[in-house]
Amino acid sequence: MDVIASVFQEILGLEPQEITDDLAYETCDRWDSLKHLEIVSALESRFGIAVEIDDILAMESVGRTREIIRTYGVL
Amino acid sequence: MNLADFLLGGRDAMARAIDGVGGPVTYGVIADAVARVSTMVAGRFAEGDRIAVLATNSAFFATSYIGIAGAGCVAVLLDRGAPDDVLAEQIRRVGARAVFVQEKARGKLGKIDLPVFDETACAGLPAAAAMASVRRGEDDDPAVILFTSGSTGQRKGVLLSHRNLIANTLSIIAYQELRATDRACAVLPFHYSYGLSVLNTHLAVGGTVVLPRTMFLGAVVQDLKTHRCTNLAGVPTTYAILLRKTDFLAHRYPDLRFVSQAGGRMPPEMVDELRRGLPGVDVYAMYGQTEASARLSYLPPALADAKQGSIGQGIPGVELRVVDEDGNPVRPGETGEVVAKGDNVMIGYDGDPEATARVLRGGWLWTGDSATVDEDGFIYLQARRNDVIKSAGYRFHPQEVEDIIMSDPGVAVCAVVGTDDPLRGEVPVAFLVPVDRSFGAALAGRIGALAQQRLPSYMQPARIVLRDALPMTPTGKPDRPALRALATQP
Repeated sequence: MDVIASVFQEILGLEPQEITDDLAYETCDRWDSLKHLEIVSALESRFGIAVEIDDILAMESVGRTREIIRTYGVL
Repeated sequence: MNLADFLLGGRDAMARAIDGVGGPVTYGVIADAVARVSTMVAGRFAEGDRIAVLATNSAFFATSYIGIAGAGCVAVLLDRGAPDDVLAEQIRRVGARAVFVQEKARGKLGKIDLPVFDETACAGLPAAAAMASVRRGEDDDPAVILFTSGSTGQRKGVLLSHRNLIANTLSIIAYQELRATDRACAVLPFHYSYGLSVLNTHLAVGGTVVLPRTMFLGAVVQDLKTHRCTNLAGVPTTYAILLRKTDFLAHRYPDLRFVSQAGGRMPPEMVDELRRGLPGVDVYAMYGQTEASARLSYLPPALADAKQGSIGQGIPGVELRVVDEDGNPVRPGETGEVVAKGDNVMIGYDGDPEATARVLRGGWLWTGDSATVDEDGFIYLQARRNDVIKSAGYRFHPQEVEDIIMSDPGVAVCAVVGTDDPLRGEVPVAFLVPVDRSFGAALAGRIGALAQQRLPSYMQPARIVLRDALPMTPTGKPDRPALRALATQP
């Protein structure tokens, strides 16, 4: 499991096999706006980056989050 | 009067009732959908039957809730963020006869032995008879049940009448001078009394409720401008996130008339920051509770400097006092409890006459909040008298978190206290003594997972601290002030 997936797993409290690229804000009950903020904060501190607001809003699934973090050149 | 008539009677059918996510929805479309729901509900269910609504902010939520109340049934507004077992318990406890649920939330109900109506089912309802022919329920009949925050069993169902909701809506409209040109940015959920008041007040004046994108509050910065919102209602956490995590104040919002804050005390520095950063925009400090349909007091924006830190005085139609234990008004500077009287005060807690009798006494609602009052009658809430934790606008008792933690057989003693948090106001910190010292980190991990599974996100401990012993009071209870001091240490 990569860092992105482990951040989601830890913060959402899900089983490793539940963390797929398709896991999405819209459909995952545990992923609410407070958790989203925690996920962003965790990614920012793990990678030493500051995520832009537009990117925070676009991180609507695990897969999309990985693509976005990649644009920061840290993956 | 019936709530549905009050909210929708005589509106301009072409005007936008709802805008933002999901696209514009006119009053004509809303009224038609409400009439269909009311007709079906009145045909299938008896007056006074409870019918639950489980949905995020949407036209579906609004039409379900108003349609149910319009048919003389009681709309039980559930929190989509609540754990599944909490929802199941609430549906059972109120004796719901059916559930209106968004398709995307259907999974939260699991196997359920009740009629379920989703968006598709509602869209397929036959065209309605004239609204007036199905209308039931008015004035002191129950219209809505809202739940106070907390976990299973602890969340009380607050029973509100048509009169309660109409009275509070009219009071808020009066002091905020709301009109048909107002467009609210609805960041707070409609199942929450404060969020519901935003929906009700704007519909009642023929205004518009804008649904912003919800995943991250930062969307509000754009959505306020895109949808030309005239007001924003938030809890302290809303503004903490906007001020600390977005460039909220770097933008100009030409249509914004006011922002309002309730649901906990906002630090004065943050109020000042908002006022300085949003020139020409009024900042309302307000106070209320679910038991009062939402609102009890407001501080007029013009008095923000003169009465800094005050929650103001009673809203129109509400008498608000600070009294001693015998119900006599305290003198300026003395501490007492806030009590309220008005048409907005609830019927009572559903199915819980004892709890109702504790808070509705001698014609007053006893809020449980302690406060002082100044020479001019302005009220200042005091720091916590009891142990209630206020996090992200929600209130809950630490016991509710402790009960979940204590369900793990590896925990010998546990105490949860609130500690200051820059974004959420307060966050819970859990102190626990393991049965065996060697349990260590594995136990902390297990408790963390248990909390994630059983508690809504705002109740989950921000930190879990393992200790060999906890500071105790002489009577053998956890010494909460000492623990609160410990919680401030990293």
